[in-house]
Amino acid sequence: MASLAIQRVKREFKEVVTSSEAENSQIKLEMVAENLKHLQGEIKGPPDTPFEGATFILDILIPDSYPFNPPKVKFATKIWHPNISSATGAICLDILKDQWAAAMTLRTVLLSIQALLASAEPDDPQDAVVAKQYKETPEIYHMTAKFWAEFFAGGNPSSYSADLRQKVKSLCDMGIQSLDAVRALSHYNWDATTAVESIFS
Amino acid sequence: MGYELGRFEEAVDEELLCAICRMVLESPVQFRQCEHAFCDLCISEWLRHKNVCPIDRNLVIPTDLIPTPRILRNLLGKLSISCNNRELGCIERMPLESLHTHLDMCNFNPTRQVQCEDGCGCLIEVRHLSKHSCLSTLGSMVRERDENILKLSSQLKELKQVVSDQHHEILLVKEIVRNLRISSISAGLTTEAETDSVRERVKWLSSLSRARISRWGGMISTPDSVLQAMVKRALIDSGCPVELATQLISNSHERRWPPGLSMLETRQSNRHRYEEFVPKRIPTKQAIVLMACENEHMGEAMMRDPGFVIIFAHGVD
Repeated sequence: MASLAIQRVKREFKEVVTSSEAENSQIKLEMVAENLKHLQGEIKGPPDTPFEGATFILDILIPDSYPFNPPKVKFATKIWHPNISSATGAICLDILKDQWAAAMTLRTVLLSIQALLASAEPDDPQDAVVAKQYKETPEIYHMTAKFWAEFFAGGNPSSYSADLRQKVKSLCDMGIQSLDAVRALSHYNWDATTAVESIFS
Repeated sequence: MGYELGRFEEAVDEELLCAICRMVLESPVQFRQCEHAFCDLCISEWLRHKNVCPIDRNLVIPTDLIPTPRILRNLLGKLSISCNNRELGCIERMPLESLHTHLDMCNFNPTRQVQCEDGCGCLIEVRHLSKHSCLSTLGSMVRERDENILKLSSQLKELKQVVSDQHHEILLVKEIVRNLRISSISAGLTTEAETDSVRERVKWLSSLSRARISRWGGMISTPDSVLQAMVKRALIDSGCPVELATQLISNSHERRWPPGLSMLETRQSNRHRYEEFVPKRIPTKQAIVLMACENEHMGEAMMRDPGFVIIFAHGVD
């Protein structure tokens, strides 16, 4: 790992830890490996969004050419969002691609991702299924995103979460894995029959 | 890449940090347009990736980089920094602007060069001083020079060969030039000889007068050799070159006349064209000479190269 990358990550690590956002436990950064090349980030779901109250883990890889190239960041926690793949956690965010600039830091990256949760860009989607639901049936998207935040990321339960959990359970009773059940139900707007058909077809 | 923050005694203002390495600016430069400053090395590396300012992302090119204002350099220069060799034991602190002067003299600087005082007088980096031996240093210097001498003498040998090859080539070229000159001189002589003979022929031909033939029927199509010899003599006497005269006389019999005249029948059918000839009178003889050079207009059927003679019984004026 290039010495500039190490130096910078060290400083940025300190910057995040001592930041006001960390104090308010909005963001968090931890080392995975001792070489500072592999980090784990954490962001809180922003208020007034389906993600409020939830905590999302991010997987961060620092390339040797950092900060001349952006860090590789993806969601380790499952999330239902138009710009984040519900399958892989890959993030569609310009600053992590061609809009990266060397003056950006891990702190600004974490804050940008948090901001992305508050303002989705359905016209530039990473997950086409989620984006379609977001545009066509916003209430179902909101409900689904909130359920995912509750189910996978410790978000606050909602009034309909018991119903949805019941649907998931009914699929699990047929021998379906809970993750597959949640995915299929979310994909088919919580229509249990279609979801089951999609799994067994 | 800038100076580590830990080397400064006091907190350094954010304005004096490079946004790329996040350390204190080293050899700072800034963009003409937005005035954002970076370490020279950091921004050069960034511009190899993207042509935008790393802070505001506006388009820039490397030539937009200019020196930072004096005030920024002065502020940086006054920051108190610890020596690069702090970990090697140097406890000195100095203003950033005199860091380089210090490093040149710093006793802890492992790359500082000192002169050996044990006899060889070589410049040696301090870090190598303890292992330094004058004998082995001088020995390796001698070996290095020997290698150089070997290299140079083999180069010299090659160059000598090149020079000798080129010398041979020059000799060869000189020989070719000499031969060319000789052959061009002899070629010039031939041309002159040819010109002379043409001149002689023209001179003879122009001395002859145009013949007027009152009776074409008086021509002798089969002259005998006596007659031919007489006419030939007259030709030569008129100034015709002997060689040409021989050719012309050999063309004085109908066998050697052009196809349009070689038989009675063809002569009769071409009779109307006789007046188109340019005939020259052979002095003192009832004979004419028709030269190809003066009768090109007659065409191949009525002319023979270089010309022919018609001897008449009478009717030539």
